[in-house]
Amino acid sequence: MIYSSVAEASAALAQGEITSVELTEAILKRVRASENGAYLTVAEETAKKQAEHADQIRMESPRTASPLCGIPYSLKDNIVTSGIRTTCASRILADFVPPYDAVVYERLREAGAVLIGKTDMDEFAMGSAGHYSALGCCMHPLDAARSPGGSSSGSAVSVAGGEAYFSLGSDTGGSARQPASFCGLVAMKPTYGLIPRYGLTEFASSMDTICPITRTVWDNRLVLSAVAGWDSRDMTSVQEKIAWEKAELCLKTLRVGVMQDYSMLCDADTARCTERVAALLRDAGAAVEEVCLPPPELAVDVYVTIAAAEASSNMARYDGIRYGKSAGGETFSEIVVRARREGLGEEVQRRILAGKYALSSVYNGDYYRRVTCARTEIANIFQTLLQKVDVILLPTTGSVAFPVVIDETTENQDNPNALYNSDAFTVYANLTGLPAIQLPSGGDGILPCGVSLMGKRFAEPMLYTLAAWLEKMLSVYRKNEWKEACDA
Amino acid sequence: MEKEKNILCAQTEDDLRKNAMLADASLEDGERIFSPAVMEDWQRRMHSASIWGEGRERLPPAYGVITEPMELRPDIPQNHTAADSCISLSAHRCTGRADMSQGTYILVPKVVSE
Repeated sequence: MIYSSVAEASAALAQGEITSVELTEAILKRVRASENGAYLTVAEETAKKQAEHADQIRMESPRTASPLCGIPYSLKDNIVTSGIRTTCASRILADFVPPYDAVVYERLREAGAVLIGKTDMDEFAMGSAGHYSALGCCMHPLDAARSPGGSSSGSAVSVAGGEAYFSLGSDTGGSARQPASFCGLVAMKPTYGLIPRYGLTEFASSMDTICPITRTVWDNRLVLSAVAGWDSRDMTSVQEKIAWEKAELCLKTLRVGVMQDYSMLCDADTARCTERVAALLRDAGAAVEEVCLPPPELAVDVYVTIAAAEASSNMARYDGIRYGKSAGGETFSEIVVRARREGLGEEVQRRILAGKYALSSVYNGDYYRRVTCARTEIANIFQTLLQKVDVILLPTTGSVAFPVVIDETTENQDNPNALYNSDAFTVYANLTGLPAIQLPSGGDGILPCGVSLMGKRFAEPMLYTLAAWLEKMLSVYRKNEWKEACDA
Repeated sequence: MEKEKNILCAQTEDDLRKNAMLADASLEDGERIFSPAVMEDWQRRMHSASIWGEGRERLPPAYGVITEPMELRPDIPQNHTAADSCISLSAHRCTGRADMSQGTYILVPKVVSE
């Protein structure tokens, strides 16, 4: 049962075949036995209490219970949870216990879902491989020598490894879709503003998005339905409701734009997976044509500049005085410098410095302002394209999960910026605020890889319908195969 | 708890300024973290991205203000000299140019999300 989908587990709970307490205990047992390192904090007592409460809801109001009632899940450790420590995988917040709950946690708790714990991640969500965590070491469930992806590394590993039925990660430049691709999962980066971010620790505010990570497309839709919707505490939260009635899709009239020259940035296996999806759509009667997207390397440059600039501002609060662990000091500067030097990892410090550099108007003239113009141009290009096509198809990553960098003398360690290029396909959705869904589309025979479908703002219903059809056609969801592979 | 939320949600210009100031006040290890190769890569990225945006219009910012660094953080520290030395220190390490602290800083959005 621990490898089944949310829908299957929910049906079993509804029919009384199993209780949430039993289901939760099975998951906790799995977590205790696991060596994947998915969790930074396991909230065992909270989980047991929430499971008992869920069983009570199912018993008292079986007809009105949410499909998520009694389902164990995990949260990325940058989503605050009252009474449960939230570290962002950083030393500076290693002992931080938030005094309030994130909106998404409130909503899942109201739905009766059961929080198992908080998952490992790249520190403050800055990273693409999961290895910038200061507090954990998360491993790919299929191959410990490979990266699980990042920054939502633990979220993806918990779902892929049978340690949660679903997870909420965050995605600023691909941080949920990339690990989902590496671990063979589904992740939806919704329209910016659809899921309130109140309680999500900020990295780059104009791009940060909370994302459901699941094993199936339908599960993802269930989770998104539960957490999406306006909240007054997030000024960027949108009032629009998801028009699920627009989920109908006619493949024969569907216009699909496939990213031109994507294969130049992919290995052969990944490119083949995308070709296969394009061929399936074409065979089903969709009009498939190539579309010219803004150069991916340029999009990455725009993304990293904006992200660093916003991060440098957002990270300012961790001064060892009001926020963050103090490391002592006599003067104001000494207190702040010590707290940040000892509390923040190198990648975070690097981005703060780069961001400050981008925000300076003296040095070569105001990078930030000009780069935001470039971002607008990218958004305009997508707006024009999405009048000609209904959906854009592209790979999620350029390869399957890459090897973990262990040797400190290797190229990636010498130049950490090389990793930024792994976001080449995913940053478009964050720069434009458009929705994008990642779904598994095959792999190299051992490790999975995925494709992404991008649509117009609030096109989530249509993207889910299309992704569900592809999921069925590709037969990628094979729970028994996953179980065997992970158990092996 | 309610008070804590209100502090976190504060959206005044002063709050933005305080946050921006503190972003600079740290990082003695700048040179090590920002090795010449890394620095060069960042410069290349920012340069290419900014060239693409040059001469183009942008959407009105949803939030954010523009301010002078001397106006930053009027309360803590009370002494401007201390504030200036912090900002110059990290600016110098970041760019090799102390004059970076004399320009206009664009403060980026604080959003009510935490």
